[in-house]
Amino acid sequence: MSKVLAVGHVPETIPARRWLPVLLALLLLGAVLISLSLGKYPIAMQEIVLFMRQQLLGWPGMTPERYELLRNILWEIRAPRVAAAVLIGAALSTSGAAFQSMFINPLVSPGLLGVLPGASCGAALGMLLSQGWFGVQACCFAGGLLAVGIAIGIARLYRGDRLLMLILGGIISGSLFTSVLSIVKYLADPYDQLPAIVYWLMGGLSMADSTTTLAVSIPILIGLCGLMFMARYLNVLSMGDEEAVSLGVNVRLIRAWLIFFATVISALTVVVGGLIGWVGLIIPHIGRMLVGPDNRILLPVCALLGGLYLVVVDDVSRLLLNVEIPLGIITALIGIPFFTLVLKNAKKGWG
Amino acid sequence: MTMLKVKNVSFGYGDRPVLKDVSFSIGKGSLVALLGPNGCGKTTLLKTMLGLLPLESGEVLFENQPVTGFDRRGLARRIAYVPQIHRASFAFQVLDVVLMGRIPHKGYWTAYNRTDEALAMQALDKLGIAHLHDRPYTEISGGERQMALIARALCQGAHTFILDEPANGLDYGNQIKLLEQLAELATEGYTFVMSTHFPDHVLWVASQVVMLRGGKLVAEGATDDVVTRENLCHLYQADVQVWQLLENFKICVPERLRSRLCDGQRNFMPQAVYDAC
Repeated sequence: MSKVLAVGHVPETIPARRWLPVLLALLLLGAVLISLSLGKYPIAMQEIVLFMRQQLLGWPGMTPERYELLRNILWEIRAPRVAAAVLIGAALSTSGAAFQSMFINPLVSPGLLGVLPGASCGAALGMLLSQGWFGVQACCFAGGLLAVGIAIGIARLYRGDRLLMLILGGIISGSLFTSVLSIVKYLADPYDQLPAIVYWLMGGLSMADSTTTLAVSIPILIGLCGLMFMARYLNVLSMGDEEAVSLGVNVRLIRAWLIFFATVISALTVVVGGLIGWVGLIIPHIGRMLVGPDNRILLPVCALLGGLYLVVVDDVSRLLLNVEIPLGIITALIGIPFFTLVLKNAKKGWG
Repeated sequence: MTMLKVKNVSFGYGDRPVLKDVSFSIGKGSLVALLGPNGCGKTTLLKTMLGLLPLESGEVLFENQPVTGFDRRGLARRIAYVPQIHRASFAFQVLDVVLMGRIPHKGYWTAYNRTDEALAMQALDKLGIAHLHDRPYTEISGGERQMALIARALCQGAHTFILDEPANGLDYGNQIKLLEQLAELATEGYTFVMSTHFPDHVLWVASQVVMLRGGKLVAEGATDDVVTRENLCHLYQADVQVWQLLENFKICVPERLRSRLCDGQRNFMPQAVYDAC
């Protein structure tokens, strides 16, 4: 027994835990600024700083014509897109990490309860019914919530291990919405609607305008904060239901809130960017490699990492070729080999 | 002083009755062992004592109030649960696992502070595993993990501990360490209820025994009165003798082993064993 540690002495935490979030935040800020300057019309970093100063602080630093141009490019086109990338990356990674803890399984993704198929199906249905852009987004969001609602409803029908029933409910609900999506695709006009649906399903941020981004940013930020506030409870839930109850935790209530927050923010990512897979699965793994499984630090790190990752991947998607490569394709191409590699390690701590 | 009282408790999963009219009570500072064959309802009984299962009839009283009447946080500050060997999926640091014991003391919006961490370290130190505080929970041994969970229970501020087969899966050395630790804590006034498959463990440390078979109470009372040949035979459907070796020490000897031992070796036997044979 070590007597080096006096009774009550509090050990220092791992150094990485303290400086890593700061480092990631700085990296994210740098990536955002660089992404703003990159594009068909390159803009120097100094000009971005000058423009931001004028835009945010009202401190004029350039001619009105130049300001108008920059306002158009930076404020109307690039900023919403970059902001959307950060928000979506953060939302998918954080809800993925939360689901992995909650379901005590490092191999689940935020789509476990069917939110992603549900939202895709909703969006496709919206396009089929030729609702306006807003209508499509509303259908998308509603579809995501409905799918998770059905999954929970199915889980409620049966007795037994709650987590297992939820997972089965999610599989059933997800398959249901995937089938409905196929029907919608089959019925869609092959010259006009079908390509739009397919393009949506590949995921991408070209549709991210300032109105949409602004509208989703508030609920996404609230959802992220909600998940992070419950990090302590997530730790306890990852030890199993009965243990959590014996520690005085209201498991049903906490789980309901966690599923609610994770579902809302995941559905909103589909509203803005379509289906962007694999982020919510691999970023939590990287986060856990860096700071360990304690959700109090893991969730903020995942949010930062996810934001950083998606900003960079989105830059690649819009700049690598003359035409834009759908974002979801790139995240899958990166995610699948990475996942195959981590699977070996993930299994170790699982059985 | 009575800490826990189980009164005519019956419980079933669906149509399958598991506990039938079980009653006993437990005093403060006692170390109670729950004995019974596989599937006799030991774990279920422990869970009902924690208020985790809805009873069909009867009630469980903690400090003379029904456990179901406590709010979960309040109960968690009084009774702690140490589950069976863990399926650990995430490599939390040992200190983080122990810190979870502070959760019933914190509001929804307050984070753990230095005091909580100091209390967690104190609990680890009390069990002699303070040096493990920064090790991953998944990489320490089963015995150390069991100690960490007991540390968490201490950290919870609880005075009554419910342990589900704590010695299961531990090597012999760690079994001894664990039992000694529990016995020591019991002298400090902590109350323990543990299920076990080892009647010898019971004879070493337990002050009280509850025997369960097929969901029914077989016997209940002070260890000396209850751990007898008749009761063990009935409990396990195997003939087991209980030898009094010293004035205050007994061991269990299976009848088949006894017959082999006692055939023609009497000259080499210590007097106590000779008498027992």
